Amino acid sequence: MKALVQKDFYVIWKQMRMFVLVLALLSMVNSAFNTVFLVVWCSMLPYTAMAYDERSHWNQLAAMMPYSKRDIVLSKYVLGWLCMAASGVFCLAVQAAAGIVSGSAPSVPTLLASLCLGIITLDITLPAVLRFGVERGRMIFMVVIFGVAISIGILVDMVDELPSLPVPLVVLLPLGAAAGTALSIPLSMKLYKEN
Amino acid sequence: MNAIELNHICKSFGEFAIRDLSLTVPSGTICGLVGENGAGKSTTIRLLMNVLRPDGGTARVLGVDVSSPEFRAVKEDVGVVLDEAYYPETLTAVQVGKVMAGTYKHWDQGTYDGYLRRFDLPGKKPFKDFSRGMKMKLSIAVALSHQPKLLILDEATSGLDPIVRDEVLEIFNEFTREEDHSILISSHILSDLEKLCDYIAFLHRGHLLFCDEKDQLLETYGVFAGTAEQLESLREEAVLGRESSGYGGVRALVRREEVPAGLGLERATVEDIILFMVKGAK
Repeated sequence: MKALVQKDFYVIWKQMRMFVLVLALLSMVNSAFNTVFLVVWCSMLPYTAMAYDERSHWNQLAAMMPYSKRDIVLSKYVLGWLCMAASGVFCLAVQAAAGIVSGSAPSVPTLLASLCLGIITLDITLPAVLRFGVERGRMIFMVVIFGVAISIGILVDMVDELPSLPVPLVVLLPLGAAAGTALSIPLSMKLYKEN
Repeated sequence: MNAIELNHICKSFGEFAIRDLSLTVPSGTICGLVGENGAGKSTTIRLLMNVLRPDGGTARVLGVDVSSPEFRAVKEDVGVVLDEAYYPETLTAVQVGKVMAGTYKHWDQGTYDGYLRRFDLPGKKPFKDFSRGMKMKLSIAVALSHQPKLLILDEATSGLDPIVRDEVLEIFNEFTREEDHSILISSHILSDLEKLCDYIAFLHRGHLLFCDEKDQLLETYGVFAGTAEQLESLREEAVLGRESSGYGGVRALVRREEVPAGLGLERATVEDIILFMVKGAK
């Protein structure tokens, strides 16, 4: 599986350079919306890698190699998690550095909430994209992103105040991410095998 | 041990079907898989690698049933080159090597680097900028660099210029000098197969017309060139396919043992045998 993640990193590296630039610019503005937007945006990077795979018919070649279907599916989740974690750490570092000047501290709870939202987005969209491909899965993907974006919009103000929110939301988001992943991975495996 | 065993494999895709395909490739030999476009060569390879599940029959590669969980480990010993090199377009040859080093337990970086040099492949050029020949050479380099025991090659020499093709055929020949190394190669370039193979298997519309030793085939068949009257004098079973050669003459593929000694026959090439058989089947 490590080799598959490594391959995807090589594939998306050029896009990531642009991402890093946008990340750096947006991270400087310490707002909950920017943090959520960046992390959720990074959760979509596996689809860039999958689009390249589809264009080159990589899966036909991968099927001849000693990869299990489990490895192929899990590698996409791992890639998404790594991209989100990297963007989160990057956001935190840039916000901390910018905070030295502005005096504002980075919000760890906001970042954790963003990571949970990114994971949930990946959990919902990845099974559909694995089943229908990036092209055909795009519609489902757009509907989900639209839904998540509206939810984020509603949540943004609340998330800004996250430390003072009642406990359930702080617990609900990680629980939702964990439950979503527990359901999403087996579903993705099943759909990928059917493919 | 047999490198490949297909027993009564059936696979239907509606209009096209592989029917009762039984094929054996003994270990240490090279088998050429021949057939027109759409005859079922690539489907056979996909069935062999368990990418497709057959409707019926069994397949074994290097002694292991391809539908068993153990087959994944066997894939370590199988080098595959498909009709196109399906690497993502942004990867470079160096990156492909790094990915494959994490993919195959027995990856030999020295061997891979050696093939990159031998094939004159640039290490840092993106795959999308490779010519078709370069792409195929990269695929061949990968297939040969993880110490495989079996090579499965689907049109692996297509797109290569004659000089490189000859070099690649020599590499394949070298590969089978180890007695447990085997090759299944499909190709439209029948002269390559005649040069390389010990066995020739001929698929026609999903049906295996024959799988025989090449030398046996060349001894069994001859090409008759003469008049239609001379040809008519032969028994019907002796003639496998015929064509007009102009000016009232005919050429035909015949079984040597069925033809009277006085009638001169030309040596049949593998290409003659295949082409006449296709015409005969039509």
